[in-house]
Amino acid sequence: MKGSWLVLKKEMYYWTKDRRTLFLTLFFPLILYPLLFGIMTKMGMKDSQRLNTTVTQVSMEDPANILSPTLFREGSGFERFTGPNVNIPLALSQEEFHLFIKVPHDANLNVKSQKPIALEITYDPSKDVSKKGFSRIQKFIKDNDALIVVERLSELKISPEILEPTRISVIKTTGANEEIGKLIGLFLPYFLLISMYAGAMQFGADITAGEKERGTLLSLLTTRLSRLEIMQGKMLAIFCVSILGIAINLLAIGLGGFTAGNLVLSDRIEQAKGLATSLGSSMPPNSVNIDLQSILTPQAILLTLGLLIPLGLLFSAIILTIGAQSKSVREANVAMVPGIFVVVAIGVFSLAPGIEKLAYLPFVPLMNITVVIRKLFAGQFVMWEYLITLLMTLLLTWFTVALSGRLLNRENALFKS
Amino acid sequence: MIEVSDVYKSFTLKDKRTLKIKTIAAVQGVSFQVQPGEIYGLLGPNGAGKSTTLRMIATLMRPEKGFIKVAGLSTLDQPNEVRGKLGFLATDMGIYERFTPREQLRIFGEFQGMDSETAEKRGLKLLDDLGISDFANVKMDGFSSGQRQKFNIARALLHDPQVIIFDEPTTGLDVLTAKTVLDLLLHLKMQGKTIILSTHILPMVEKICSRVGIIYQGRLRAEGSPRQVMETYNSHSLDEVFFTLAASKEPEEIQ
Repeated sequence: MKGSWLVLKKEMYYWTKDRRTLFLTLFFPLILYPLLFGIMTKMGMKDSQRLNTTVTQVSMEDPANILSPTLFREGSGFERFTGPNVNIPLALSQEEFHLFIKVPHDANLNVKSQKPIALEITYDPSKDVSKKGFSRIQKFIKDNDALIVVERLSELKISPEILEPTRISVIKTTGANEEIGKLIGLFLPYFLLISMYAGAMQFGADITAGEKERGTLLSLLTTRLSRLEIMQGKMLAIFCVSILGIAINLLAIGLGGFTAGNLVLSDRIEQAKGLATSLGSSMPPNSVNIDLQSILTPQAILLTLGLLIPLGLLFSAIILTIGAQSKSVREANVAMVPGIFVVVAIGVFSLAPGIEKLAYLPFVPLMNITVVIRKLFAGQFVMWEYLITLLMTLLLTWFTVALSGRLLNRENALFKS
Repeated sequence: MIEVSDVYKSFTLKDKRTLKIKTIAAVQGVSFQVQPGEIYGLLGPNGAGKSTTLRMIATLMRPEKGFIKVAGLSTLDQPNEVRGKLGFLATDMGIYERFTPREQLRIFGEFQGMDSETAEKRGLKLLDDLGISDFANVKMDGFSSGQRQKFNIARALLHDPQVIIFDEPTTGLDVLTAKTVLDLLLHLKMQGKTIILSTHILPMVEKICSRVGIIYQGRLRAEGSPRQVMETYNSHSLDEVFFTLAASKEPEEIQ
């Protein structure tokens, strides 16, 4: 076993000597994800701010002057477009104005007879400002209608409560934490499977087929290390790189999420502070609080890790076997690529709704891991399913490791080049 | 001491066109012995079975029949121990280009069961003997083929093996460096090491080998001192012995 550790040490030391790979594997994700998430959030916030502050330009036909006085009041968020009459769809698509409203010429009669006015609103759903204008006008009309109804009811001496025979009070038994947990559980297994396999693929090809191609495997085989020790050491190295890759990627995504969350939160605090100041209050603003500690509990992390270790060894044994059976790195990569498709297919299938209800799933290797992790973070963890999944994964890993050991001991595998 | 006794090895080849599998006999009943303090020249044209024989001695391949003993240890039963007593150099051995010679020798010393300090010390001494100690701390990706070969020689001798197998040790070396390697081999012979040398430079063999064995078509066709072999084939040089053997028939197929 000492020999395996020596090989592992050599592989990891040699890996650290490749500065480009080291940068791309360890540091690049830590820079890329926070930067990407930050830029995307900032752009999203800027766009949302632009939409909220943009005054909706309305082109209007209101011969009876029914809606115009209230709609174009100062601070209403609507402004009358006073340009020439044009092709409406074209003007909307070119954002000359954002809405076109047509009020019927006999609207006055409808108001007097307390009948509905048939408004015709034209907007372009493919344009964000037009869509925003439409939602604004819907709210405006709803509020305006409520005022008219209250006025009419009061003239008839009827309480407005007559319009509200039922009042609903909603109590949610799960909060934002559970929703986030469910989301993490849905995407985490997919991410783990793919990054675990794909992350170690190149390294695995290099330390197996690559060493054969460069003739360094022959140097290793002439030392007093046994073939088993050499292969065990290489398998452990592939496993370490794969786990390290996942840890770095998760950390980078976490940092990205943290950066994006902070940007959103600071923006909300600024908005709330502005509101509090305008109301003459010094009350601190409340914010939406998602408690990640209650989602990523030590128990959930440990149980996930408990599955990732045999899974990592399984993938390492597969990569090692393919790599050692190949003559060159190129050949190894070609042979390993179909594995990505298998892993992606399993990952995509695991996203299917209701899949966790299939009773036989804990017995299906790889698939069971995705479902167990999904349930773990969604708060639907079942211990026996976890144990069966662990057992199945361990059995498959043991089988693959034993098979790769047999295959790798063959002379035509070692001297294929 | 090396004892090779009636060893056989064959390989299967697949004809890509007919998809038929052929079995080619690479080594057929080869036997010879090499004593301590002796340089034994294992000669033969390309594809004769020399490298396969050397690889079987170095435990990289298993003989199908017969047995090999290195320093009294069986290559089949104690392969790890055999490799601990053996220094092996082949033409297709690569180097870890991102390491410096010092780092690589320390690591290989550990693989051979040495402590890293001793390995480094002995490694630096060997680099000095071979004239590349100035490059001990330089990354090896820029090394010339001669420097690479010298480094590989240092690595093969790092653990002070009793038995040395050198397959084409002077490949890529200039005349002066090749002489350094020959001097080193003679020095190792004086130390009582058991040495097998395989090379195509026959004048070198005539000069330093006590005995030679000529393999052709997987069989050991001649053995003895260079002079004895030349007399057996009525030749004036080992080159002529090769030409005589080349007139023989093609490799035999078992199936």
